[in-house]
Amino acid sequence: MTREDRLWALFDECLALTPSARDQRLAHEADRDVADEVLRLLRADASPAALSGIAGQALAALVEPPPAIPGFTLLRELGRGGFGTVYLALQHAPSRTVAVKVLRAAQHDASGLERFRLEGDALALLSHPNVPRVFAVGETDGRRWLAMELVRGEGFDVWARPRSLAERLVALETVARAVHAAHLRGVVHRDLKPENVVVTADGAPRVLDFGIARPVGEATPAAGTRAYMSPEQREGRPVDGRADVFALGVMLRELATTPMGLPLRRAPDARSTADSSREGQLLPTDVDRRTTGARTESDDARHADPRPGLATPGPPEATAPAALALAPELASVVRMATAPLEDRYDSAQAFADDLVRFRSRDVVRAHPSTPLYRLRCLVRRNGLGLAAATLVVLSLATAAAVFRAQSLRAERERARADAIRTFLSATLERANPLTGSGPRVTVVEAIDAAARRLDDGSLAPDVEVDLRETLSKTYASLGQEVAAYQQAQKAVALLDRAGGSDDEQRARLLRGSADFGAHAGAVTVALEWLARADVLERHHGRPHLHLAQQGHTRGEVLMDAGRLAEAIAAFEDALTQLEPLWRAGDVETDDYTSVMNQEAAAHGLMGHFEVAQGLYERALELDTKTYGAEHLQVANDLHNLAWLALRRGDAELALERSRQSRRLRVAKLGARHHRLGLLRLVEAEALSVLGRCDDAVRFAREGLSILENAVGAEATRALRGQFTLASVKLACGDVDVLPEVQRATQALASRMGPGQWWVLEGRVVEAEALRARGDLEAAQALARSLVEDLERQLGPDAPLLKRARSAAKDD
Amino acid sequence: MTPEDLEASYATLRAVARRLLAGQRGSLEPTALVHEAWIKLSEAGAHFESRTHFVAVSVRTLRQVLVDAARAKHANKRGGARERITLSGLEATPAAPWEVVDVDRALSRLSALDERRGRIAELRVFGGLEQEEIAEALGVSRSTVAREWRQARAWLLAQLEPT
Repeated sequence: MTREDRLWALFDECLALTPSARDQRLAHEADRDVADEVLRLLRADASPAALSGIAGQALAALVEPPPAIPGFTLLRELGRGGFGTVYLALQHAPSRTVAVKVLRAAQHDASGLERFRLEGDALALLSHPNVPRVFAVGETDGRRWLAMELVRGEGFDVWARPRSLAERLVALETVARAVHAAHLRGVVHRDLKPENVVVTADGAPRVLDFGIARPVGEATPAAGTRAYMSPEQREGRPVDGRADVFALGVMLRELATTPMGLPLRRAPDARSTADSSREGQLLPTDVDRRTTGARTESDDARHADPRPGLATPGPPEATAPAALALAPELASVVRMATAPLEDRYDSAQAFADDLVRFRSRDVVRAHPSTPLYRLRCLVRRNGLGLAAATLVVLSLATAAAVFRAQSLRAERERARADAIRTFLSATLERANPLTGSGPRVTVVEAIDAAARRLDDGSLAPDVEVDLRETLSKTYASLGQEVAAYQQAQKAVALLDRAGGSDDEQRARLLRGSADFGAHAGAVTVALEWLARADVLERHHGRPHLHLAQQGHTRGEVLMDAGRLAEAIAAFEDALTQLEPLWRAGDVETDDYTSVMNQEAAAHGLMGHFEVAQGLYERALELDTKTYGAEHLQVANDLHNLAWLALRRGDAELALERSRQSRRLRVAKLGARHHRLGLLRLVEAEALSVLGRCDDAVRFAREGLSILENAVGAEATRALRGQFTLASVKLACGDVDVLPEVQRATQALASRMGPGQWWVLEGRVVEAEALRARGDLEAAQALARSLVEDLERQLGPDAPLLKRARSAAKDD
Repeated sequence: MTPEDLEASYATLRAVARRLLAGQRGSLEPTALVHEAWIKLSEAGAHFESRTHFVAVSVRTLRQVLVDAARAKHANKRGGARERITLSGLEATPAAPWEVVDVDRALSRLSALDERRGRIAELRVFGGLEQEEIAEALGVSRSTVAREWRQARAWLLAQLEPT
């Protein structure tokens, strides 16, 4: 008897047995090899898969003729799927290449038609740069068809492979905004996944396949790809845009945990995704995607022949690449995007905004390790519902826990996290609207309540330090820098009292909180903290990221304090630390070039134009080389160059650079981002120099309003924006600007002290305004009083000093 | 090959192809593909012993044409141009998550291992023949076909879907 004969015989024998008898029989089989194979055969035998249809399907694919559609010439088949066949076609008028999707003849049942109509409707309603346009929908010889924009590019998963995390995030953000646009028109995509996003050659992602898109709120059978499907969609409940937010969250997790150069780590089945996110397990377990039943063209490309799995089936984990740890900030975003419905982001827009915050690093630079972006997305000027406040505060606890996990032993960490959670829960109970002050609890109220309870001093010192650190960063992200500074101060004092147990934490606290101190007016304390952090980190003995971060923060503190020469030295120091790290690939290029840009800005303010130009251009070169010409960081570099061109008096060049920067940013950030406000102000100034006064004033107003909306009217950036608006108005002959300028100057002075150079900048504008109004004496007196301070802070060549001198001179 | 053989083989090929398509959507005409298979078959100069042998040879030839065409299409999709065109709605029909070339490869392995089970599976999968017809074509009993088809099917699925 050959081995095969034994195999078939044993298989037949087992088929006649009950399952448990089978197991017993196989366990007693002497030939283990045959027993194993029979087990596999029995399992396959139970599969409902149909083998016989495959040849018919393949044959049909080969012989189905393209339909004749009036107005189009169908050139060749591009692909086919469950819904129908897609052809490359020539539209006759207007003459262009399009994709024509023809519904299969047998799909003309009600649900097929319904899906098809909706795809057409959904897309036709939507005119969005990141969604393919629909040109025409029709029916010919009983077959429905849809002509749409031909999208050429790579599948998102393929495109992402050689891209950095930063680039992937920018693209995902664009996808989220496009999806949001569809939601605003009442259409949910329902089948978002990397294969349904194509990135064109210009780097712009397009969201394809609104094939199962349905109006918001309508329940359907659970169509879609399981791994990306929200629980409500699986269960056939009505869905809204949040179902797509769930899919975006799964995609984010994939994108953020896959190292560059490796195939995307596919999401496990969505059910386990939801479970694991609830349990706080942030990394996906790697599951071969075949088991999810989803399969696409790009899958085929990945699993190119020969397929090793066929010959020697083995566990997919054996070949799975290592996952990257998810940054805590991104872990929070993933968690909130895949949370149960009521806790999920309420829109794809909110999700996108959080990605922008992560990317733009407005806060990250100051305190790189605390995930508070989720919080910021929830913050509303007028307060939050209790549920949202609860979420915010509990997220702080989780953030602290995640952070602690990086540096402490697990057990101790868990005890701390528990203590923190208990504390915050109790705090929230107290802040409960039923027992508290009003119907809604604001985040600030919740945080204030937490801060008051901390002052009771009933907690273990290490827990209290953790909480104060967290509260400090929370206050800072809410724009309350004085409160942030006070919390940091208490935390530092507590750590010092407790003795030298945790130098790492102490250094982090000092480093991360120094600039709150500076913004709260305590420059000396801030510099002292940085010096202490330097001492604590000195043991590295070689260039180190923390030393670089400290140098960077020191530079920023000094720059804001008007000690520009010292600031430049600090930036230089940071660059020296960063350069070898950057060359070794240990820090991102934008970490490196951002410091370069800061140093250039300091030089620019001091009037060292050549040096500034050199640094800005070097940053542009490195960023372009690393990220490509379309990247946001490149937009920042162009913005900087525009600003410098303006200071150097080349308004034409400033306008040109601004336009380049604007084009990149609008596509990626939307028009309301604060950076676009700042850019508008540069453009406004340039236009005023060129005498185009109507546009200049309009742009300045627009820029200021964008800024105020984005960061609040009382933020320093917005207050300084008032100065630009006033300067533009003055240049254009509108001399009635004093009240606004004085108000902004006073607000800045109360925050930064009366002698700080931002305040002096406002005073220079005041002098210019007085002069323009004909009040020569007052203008001269004011301007003369500023000259000495300006020269001391910004150096003898500073453009602002020159402006003060010309406001002071005799007629 | 006699002219009668040629005529009969054409008719057989056409019948097999039509039968395969019967389960598919719409009404499709396999003419061009049948011509290709017919040319291939006549060039091979096969000698037919009986009508049932016609069927077996026709199925084998159609299988080759089908798999070659699918491979060519695949090669086009992957090779050459750097630009990839991706379009919506291209997800594979859920009933068959593998492709005809995969099935072809697995079937060849089965035939190398066990010729008769390979032939049964070929006639079933690539010819769409019922068990009775297979029994007739191979000159074995119907119960043998039923038993061995179940074995072959399990073996092929185990190959195609490693679990």
